[in-house]
Parts: sequence; structure tokens; C-alpha cells
Amino acid sequence: MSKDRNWRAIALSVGLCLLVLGIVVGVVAQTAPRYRFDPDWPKPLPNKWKLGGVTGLAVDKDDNVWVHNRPNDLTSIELHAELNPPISDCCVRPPSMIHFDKEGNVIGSFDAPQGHGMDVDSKGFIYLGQNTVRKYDPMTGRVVAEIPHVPETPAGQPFVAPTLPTRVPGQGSAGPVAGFITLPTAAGRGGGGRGGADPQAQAAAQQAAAERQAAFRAKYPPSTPMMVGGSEEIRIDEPANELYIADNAFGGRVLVFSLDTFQFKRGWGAYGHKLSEISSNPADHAYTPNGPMAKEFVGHLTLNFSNDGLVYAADRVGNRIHVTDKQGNFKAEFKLAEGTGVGGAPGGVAFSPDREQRTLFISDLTNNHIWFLNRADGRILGTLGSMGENGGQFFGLHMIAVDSRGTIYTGEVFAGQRVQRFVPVQ
Amino acid sequence: MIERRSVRTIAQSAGFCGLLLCVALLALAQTAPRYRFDPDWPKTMPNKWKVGGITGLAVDKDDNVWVLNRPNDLRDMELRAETNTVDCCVRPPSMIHINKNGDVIGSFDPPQGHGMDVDSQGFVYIGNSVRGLGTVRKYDPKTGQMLKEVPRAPEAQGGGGGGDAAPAARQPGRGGPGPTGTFPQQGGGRGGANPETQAAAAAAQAAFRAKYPPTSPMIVGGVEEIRLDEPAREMYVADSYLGGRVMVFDLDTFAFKRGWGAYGKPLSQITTDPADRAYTPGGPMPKEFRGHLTLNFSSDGKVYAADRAANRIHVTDKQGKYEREIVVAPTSGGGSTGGVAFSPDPQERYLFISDLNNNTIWFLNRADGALVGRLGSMGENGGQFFGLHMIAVDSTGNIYTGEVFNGERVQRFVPVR
Repeated sequence: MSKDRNWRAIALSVGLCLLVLGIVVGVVAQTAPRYRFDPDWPKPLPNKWKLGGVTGLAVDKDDNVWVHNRPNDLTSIELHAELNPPISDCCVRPPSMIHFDKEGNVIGSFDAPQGHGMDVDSKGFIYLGQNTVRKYDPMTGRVVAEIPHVPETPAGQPFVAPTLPTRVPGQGSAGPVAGFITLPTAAGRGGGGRGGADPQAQAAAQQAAAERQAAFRAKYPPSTPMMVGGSEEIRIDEPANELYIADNAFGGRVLVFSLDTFQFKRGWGAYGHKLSEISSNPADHAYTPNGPMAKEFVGHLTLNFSNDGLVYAADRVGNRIHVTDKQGNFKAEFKLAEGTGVGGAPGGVAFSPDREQRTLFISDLTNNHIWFLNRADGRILGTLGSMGENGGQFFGLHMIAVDSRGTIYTGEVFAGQRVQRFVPVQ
Repeated sequence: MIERRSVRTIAQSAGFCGLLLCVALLALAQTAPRYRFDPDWPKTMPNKWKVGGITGLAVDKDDNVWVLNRPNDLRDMELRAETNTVDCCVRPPSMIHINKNGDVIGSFDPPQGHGMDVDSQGFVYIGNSVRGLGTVRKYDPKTGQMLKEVPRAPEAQGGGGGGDAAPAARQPGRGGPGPTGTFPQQGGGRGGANPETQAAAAAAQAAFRAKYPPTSPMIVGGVEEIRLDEPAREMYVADSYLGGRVMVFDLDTFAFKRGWGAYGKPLSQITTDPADRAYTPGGPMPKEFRGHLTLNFSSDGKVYAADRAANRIHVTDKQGKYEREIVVAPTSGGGSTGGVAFSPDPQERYLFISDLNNNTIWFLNRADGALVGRLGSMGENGGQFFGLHMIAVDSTGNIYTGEVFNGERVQRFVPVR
């Protein structure tokens, strides 16, 4: 009897051990890449510069990093060294484009009107997303070519290239978080009214805006073979001589242009919809966190493509990534952190440095961490980072880029306003 | 010929080397303490907390760190986990206890304030700012209960008054306009008041100052900083009233003992004339303390009163006998001399001064105030500062810093041997 009990106990223990082992092995197999924050990159900026919000990040062929930032985000308290006489050691507005080497030194810069989204080609030319995409020569800071754009804006203004702003030394803006959408209100999607106007006037203004928008959309339907909105992100496909742009019109369109001629080639919407099939009905772009997925892209679309020819279009406000081939044939939908409100989770897309690019690295502005997803099926493998002001944390994690050795570079907006580096732990 | 030239070259080289050596030695002699940023402290906050601006920092007898922060600094976008839409964050308690490894080991939630110290029994002394009725309150961190209060004026300048206000009611997910929203720019006013309003304000100020003269033996303004002198059973408080008064209270009874103003002048000699507090960066020093006065005292009995808004530190003995004025970065518009700490050597050879305006730590030779070095620069990256406000040093020389404005973090710097 007692022997029997012993045997049972032993069998139970062995079984338990095997179970534990099984769980451990399972966990290891699913483990995400491991990284540590590198506090030594970048070095303190030269020339009393302080970065504004980071809206573009690209690693060049030498594994140096181009950073596109918004100097106009800086507040007066950050511009004390612009005053005459200066009232503190730091800081002044930097140029919007800054080139860092692997050691964290600034090795170049130029000052283009600030924008959103960026890539750099193997010759060093920069493609910068502003109200359209422009190609810059970083040696001279000059625009070399421009992606075609419709000749007017939805507000009825003529489309013109932005110029560098006139600035009063020491006088900054209301700050990087001031204009960001707030929590949803009774009036509908957050942000909206900055308050004050009487309801009737507001209703009339909304009506007029809606009519203007309808007229604009009638004139420039989703099939329009040029940029209609502004750029969110840019990726260059040099072997194919193509340029991928996330146009923010209609909640987001993936547009492909010739890298040589800048001529339109093709494009698609959510679920690989042909451009002509994209609905311009706002209801098809509506999304509530944890609710059903929207029929069309919702907003803040970014993109990247893998070595094996898959395009990952991240519909941030829709909390999802749509995978297609390079012709726009729909393959998969990866939902991510679907409960995420106010801004959405999948912000930027990068790939692990292994040849198979087994892992997707997704920057999340709202939850302020990087998601590691299994690229084959979108399964969550882990996260990196948390919200906070300390080194290695994030407050407005916006941009992500990975160099040839797997080093992760991040860029933040809001109160983050920094670039940081994370190195693989072997 | 060739040989002679080589000899000369060798001699020249030797001379040059000697010169280099001298320069190097000289540099070494003047070298400030060397530190490196520690990216591993603190660990990620538990409970989805995000700290607001840091307004108090104190190392306890076990080299753990108490952090006083302002949860009301946090904005909507930092409070989204209060409405469950994202991972982070929620308002933290205002007092957080962090150990050497960076783990949170305690917390409680008194009204936020400015200035703090902790005694050897673990009681915490906080400069609360409760609806303008700031004073020092002693708390039991185990229960969060307030035990005792330093005497204060029963009313605040500009009216108001009436008992302890409860912390403002908070709405989940709804924060304030942000930590920099109300900071005065370029040392100036908040602009725009008409002459009548200005005259009325000046008259109200004069009336208040007549009622509460500089000799008032209690806290009249707000508290900027607190330091405990346990061997002497005394407590030093920097009262913001009249640009700043150094006030000493009995640590047991909280009864007023003595106090002084700029240049060690007795309280009775402090003027109430605003002109005596006027100062232009780079200009002559004002006769009275100007504003944001903090303090600390050395183990050899010197009190260092840092008059931030006038870029200077006044050194006295513990009776207020004036010894010296140390001026730091005198052209700073927002004030350079924020917080005072000492190097950990028995002689406390260096002063460590946190500078909110230039976002750096100044290392000064304590004997003569000579500038020997600095640490850190303005920025958002780890080891940089944006609103460097508080500084504390533990027994092994680790520097802890706390930031307001967009900084809103505590950081650690460890000595490099």
C-alpha cells in the first residue's frame, strides 16, 4: 500500500517535471529577441541643439542613422539659448534632418521643412514625406525631385511646397502634445473642437467643411494616380526601382511610384482593395477599439516590405497590419492590441535582421513599447520597453528602424522627443 | 649635422612631453568627481505609475531613496490606463520609496509639495503646499498619517486660507495642462495685468507684509527645502516668504528657534521693499534673497543657502553668521543654483549644485566656490536633464536627481573610480 503510494508519488513527480520542462521549452521556442538599452547612443547633440518630435528614421547603407525631427515642436523653455543674450546653456532649434553615425556623433545635417516619413537610398539621397514626397540631396539640402500631388488641398488651397518657417528667437510653440487628439468626447472622435464657438456657428462650419470635402473627393476619387493627402511613411525598393508611399488620404492608400521617373505605377487600400474600390464613405473607415475591423484603412498608415516580397501596411488607428504581396494581393490581417484607443497600436514596421526576417518589430505610440510578432502568423512573442521618461523607456514611441546587425533605433514624439538605441543581447 | 638635429628633435620632444605631462597633471588636480549615468536605476514603475515632476528627494539611513512627485502634473495622455484604453499610465502616489536596486519598496499619498527630508527613524518631513498654506509636515510613512506640523501663518498672501484643503478631486483619465504650462518664461511675469490690478496687488502685498513682518516666527510663504540636523535636534526650513528666509525649528517640539536672510542678516533686518530683491542676470547682487531658496548644511557646520533666482549661494554658520557668497553661472535667466548636495568624502570637498536652468550639475570646490566641473546636459535622453530640480547623494557617493518640466523622472549617476 505504502509502496504503491510511493510509486504513485514518483510517477506524479516525473509527470510534473516533464510538464514543467515542456512549458519551459515551449516558452523558449516562443521567446522574442532580447535587447538592452544603450545609454551611450547618441552623444549629447552639438551646437546646443535639442530635438523636437521624431517623425522619420532611416538607417543608411553604412548603418548610420538619419533622423527627421520637428523643431517647431519645441517650446520657449527649450529655446533659451536662442535669446540674445542667452539665458541658459541650452538649447536652440536644430535642423530638421540630422545624420548620426554608429558611435552617436552627428556627421551631417540639413534643414528641410518638417514632415513625416523618410527613407534613404544607397547613394545617400533622402526621400522625405511632407505634403508629398520629395527627394533631397543631403550635401546641398536641395530638392531634386517631387512625387506628383493633386494641385489643391481638401481645404481648397492651392498645393504648394512648404518653406522653412520664419521664427522668432526663443519663441517656441505650445508644445508637442498640445494638438494631439484627446479622449473621445460626446461630440464624437476626440480632439475636434478646441472649444468656445457657439453651436450654430460650429454646425454651419462643420456643414461647410463636409461640403468642401465631398466636392474635393468627387474631384479626386480614391483612384487618383498621385498623392492626394500627405505622406505617413516611405520605403524604397531599389532592386525593383520602386518607391512605396503611405498616402494619408482616404484613411490611407498604399501607392507605388517609379523610383526613377516618380511616375505612379499602382496602389491599393485595406484588404488589398483596388484603388477604384476604396470606399469614401466615412462609415467604412470607422473603428471602435475592440470592435469589428473597419472595411477601409482608418488612419496613420505606415508600411514596410520584407525580403520575400510581402508588404506590411500598418493601420495604426485600426489596430492592425494588412499583409499583401507587392502587387497588393491580400494575404493576412494581423490584429494587434485591439483594445487600444486614442491613436492605435501598430505605428511603425521593421524586421529582425536574420535572413528569414522571422520577427516583425512594431513600434506602438499609444502603449509605448515595441511589439515582437512572429512574421509568419502575427503571433505576439514579446514586448520591449514601457511608458516613462527614463532612458530606455518611451513617451510617444513613433518611429523604428533596424540596422544590418539588428540594432533597434527608435524615435519619439510627444514628451519623448529623442532617438534611442537598443542592442541585441546574444 | 643629422645627428645634432636628431638630438635637438629629441630634446624638443622631451620638452614637449614634459609640458603635456604638466598640463595633464594640472587638469587632473582640478578634475571634478567623475560619474557615469546608470541606466538600470530605477526599474520600471509598478502599477502602471508614471511620476510627475520631482519636488523632493532624500536618501534615508539605508541609502534608499524617497521621491516626492507631483501627480497633478500629469496630462490626459499620461493617464490613459485610468480609463483602461492602453497599457500605461495612472497617477502614482506622491511619495515613492525606491531601494538601491531600483525597486519600489514603499509609498503613500500626502498632498504634493516641495522640499523633503527623512530622519533616522524613517519619519518623513514634507514641505506640503496645500492651497497656499504650505508648511512642513511630519509623516509616518507606514500609515501615511500626518503626525505634526511646523507653525505657519493662518492665512496665505492674497487671501484664501482656512484649514487644510483636501487634495483636488480627480477625474480618471483627466489630467492637468502639463508641467511646463505655468512656468514663468524668461524670468518675467505672466504678463498683461493692467495698472489698477497691479496697484491693488502691490497694496495687498504691503498689507500682508505689515501683518506678517519678516520676524514672524513661523512659516509664512511656502516651503522650498528641508534639512534635519538630528544631532542638534533641529530642522532647517527654507521659507519662500520675502524671497526666502532660513528658518530653524526644534526637531522635537517644532518650536521656532532662529532664522536669517541674505548675507546672514537677522530676520528683523530683512526689508520688505521689492527693490531690494530686484536682479538682472549678470547684474549686481540684490540685498535680499530673491527667490526659490533651498539649503543644506555640511558636516563641519556650514549652511549653504542657494538663492536660485539670483544665481548664488550664501554660506553662513549654523547661527546665521555670514561667511561668503558663491556666484554660479550669473547670466542664467531662470536661476542656476537649485539644490545643494555634498561629495561623500569626510571633508565634503565638493558642492554638487543642481541647475534647473542650464540642466547640469555644477561641481564646486567647497572651500572657495571655484567651479571644477559639471555633469549632464539638457535633453530627453537617459542621463540628460529637462528641468533638473532636486539632487541627493548617498553614503557611497551615488548622485540621485529629480526633474520637473518634461523631465519627470529620477535618475542615478554612479562614481567612476
